[in-house]
Amino acid sequence: MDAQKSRRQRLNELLETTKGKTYFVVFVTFGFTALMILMGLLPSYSAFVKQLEQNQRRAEHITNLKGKLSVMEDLVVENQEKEAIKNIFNKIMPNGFNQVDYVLEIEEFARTSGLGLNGLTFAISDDVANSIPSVRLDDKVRGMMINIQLDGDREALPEFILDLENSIRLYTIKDLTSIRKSDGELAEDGFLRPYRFTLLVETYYFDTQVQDE
Amino acid sequence: MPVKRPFNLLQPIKPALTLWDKIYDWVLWRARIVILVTIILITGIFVGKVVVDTDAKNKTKEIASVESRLKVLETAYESEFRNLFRREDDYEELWNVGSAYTAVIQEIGSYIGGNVNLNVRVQDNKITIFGTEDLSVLNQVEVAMKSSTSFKNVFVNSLTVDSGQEGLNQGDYILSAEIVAAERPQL
Repeated sequence: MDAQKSRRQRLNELLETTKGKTYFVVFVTFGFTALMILMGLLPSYSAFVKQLEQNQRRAEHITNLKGKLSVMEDLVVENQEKEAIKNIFNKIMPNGFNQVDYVLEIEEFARTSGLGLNGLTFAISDDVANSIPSVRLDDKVRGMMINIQLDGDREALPEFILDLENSIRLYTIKDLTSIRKSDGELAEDGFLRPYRFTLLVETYYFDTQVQDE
Repeated sequence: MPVKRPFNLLQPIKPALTLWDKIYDWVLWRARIVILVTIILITGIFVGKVVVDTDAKNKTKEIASVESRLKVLETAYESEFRNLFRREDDYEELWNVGSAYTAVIQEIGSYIGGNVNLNVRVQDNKITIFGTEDLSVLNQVEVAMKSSTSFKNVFVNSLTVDSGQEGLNQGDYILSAEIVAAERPQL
């Protein structure tokens, strides 16, 4: 009690003179300002700056996401607009192999070039990716070997090969043999188709059942 | 006893300001300004913090919204698009390394002619012509192939002259060559 009274007394004594009041104002001002800077201004400023940085990162993230979204939306629109082209592509590089489509096309090529289709056999080819070392293919690419036997004139063969190689379906000729038939064979079919052409052609499809690595 | 009050109508004369009075006035005004500026700064920072906090909340909401839209599209289309792109890439690669034998077959056909007993095999950019025919035909084909830019390393691998048939200059032979630049137009 005495100590408190003594402090108050000392304060009153200090404030009685302008010199004392000046010291008091300077002390209070510095004290208040320092306290405000340390307890209020610096933490708030630090939090403000951190939040601002986080917001900038968020803004960048939003820009990236919006870019991706825009690409995705454009692709969806393009996908819908180009449905017809996509359907054609699905036939020329199909997910899975449809032999009937190939038989019909090869038959058509043989017919238009004036060759007789004598036989057509299919066999799955092994390890397509490694069989063409110059290209890097997806694991899901599979090959199908088609053995085509044709009869006819040698003049008709280039047209058939042209059709095959110009087809938007992929046909890679692996082996081509043109053999003149024996006299007996020629006599059998009335000398109409003097040559037998055997083509080993590889075509490709995408096997969606293969799991991604 | 009544208190005696002085009666004076003159304006009281203030004592002259001392040095400390002047310093006190100066310090007091400066102190007010400093405190005011500090308070304004703190208020400004607080307002700024509220603004950036609100901005952060809005951005978080926007991220969630864009991500959910993206997720919907990804679920519906991404695997389809990836499959399509991969197939496109593979198609392009395979097309570019595909065979292009049409011109070569046409050229060989023009050398061999119509009714000759010759067989042709094309495999791995190599062409083999084999059969039993007059050697003049062999010579004609060999010369034509050697002078053509479509073939290189034209070589008669095997030649067996049929000595049983006198007067006929016939034999079995195998003629091989490499096909030059049998490449199709690139995609």
